[in-house]
Amino acid sequence: MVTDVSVTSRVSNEAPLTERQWVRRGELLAAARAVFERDGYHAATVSAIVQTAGLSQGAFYLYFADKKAVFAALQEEMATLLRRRIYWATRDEADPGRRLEAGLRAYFEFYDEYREWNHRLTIEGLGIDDSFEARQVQLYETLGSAFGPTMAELRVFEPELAAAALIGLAFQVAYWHHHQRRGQPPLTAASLARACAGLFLHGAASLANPSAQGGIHA
Amino acid sequence: MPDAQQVFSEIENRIKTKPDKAAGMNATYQFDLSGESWTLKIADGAASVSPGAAQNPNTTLIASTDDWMNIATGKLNPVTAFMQQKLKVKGDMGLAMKLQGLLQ
Repeated sequence: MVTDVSVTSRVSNEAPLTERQWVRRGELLAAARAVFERDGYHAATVSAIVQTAGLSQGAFYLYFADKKAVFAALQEEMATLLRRRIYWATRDEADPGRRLEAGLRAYFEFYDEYREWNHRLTIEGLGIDDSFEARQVQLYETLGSAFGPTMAELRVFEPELAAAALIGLAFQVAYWHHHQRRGQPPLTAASLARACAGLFLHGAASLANPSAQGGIHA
Repeated sequence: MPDAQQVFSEIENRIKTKPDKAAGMNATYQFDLSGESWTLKIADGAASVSPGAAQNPNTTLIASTDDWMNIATGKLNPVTAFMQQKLKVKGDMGLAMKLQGLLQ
């Protein structure tokens, strides 16, 4: 059973980029992410982005209409990376419980690697306008659909609801781990995934004993 | 972690199941990884993958096996890899960029 998190390729009316343009656009995206992570969306400026990239303002506007457009492009790029990671982390796992845990682990590893971006997207990005929330909803729907067959194998009565609950659980735990649980040693993606899978599959009792199989310190 | 054969088979399957991804494409890609080469041929949108080098590739992508696997599985952004010289491209760059869409 494969957790298919692929999406239909988007139809693009844009002219194909040359190598130089492809790299320039990549440089601008990398610089924009650094600036958004450092300054936040609202305080970030196109000037700061081009300065970080070492390019001119004119170069920026060849690729993006404004700050909002580059943020949207980053949101798309990050969603693609996350979908791909979860797909490859789960595709060959036959056991549905272990597949679920593998998908969670891929998610926590992604969140850990891009924690500042995920933080900015959560606290600022989704409030920019409806299109940002719509893109995020589309990502969650894709992930939810992908976990549907796993939920069915687990004999969950409402697989769609369960998949949404799983994603919500993972999202909140990642946020808690990185932004609320301050001053404590970090937990590994594997331990968070194990704990969340235990919670989801066996309930809160799976966390009762810190050294139990589902415990975060196990 | 999947191996290279799984990744190339996956690309082949994706093009077969979602032919719109490669509609109208005619291209031969060669992948030179650490000590192994692979060929991806797309003819009129149909894909076939085989181990070994191609005779006349339109585009050759050169990377370590680890870096290529990281790109394919979403752990490394392909543009970042290119900028960091972890991924090198010989030949038609436009076809290399199209490959990004085939990996999604």
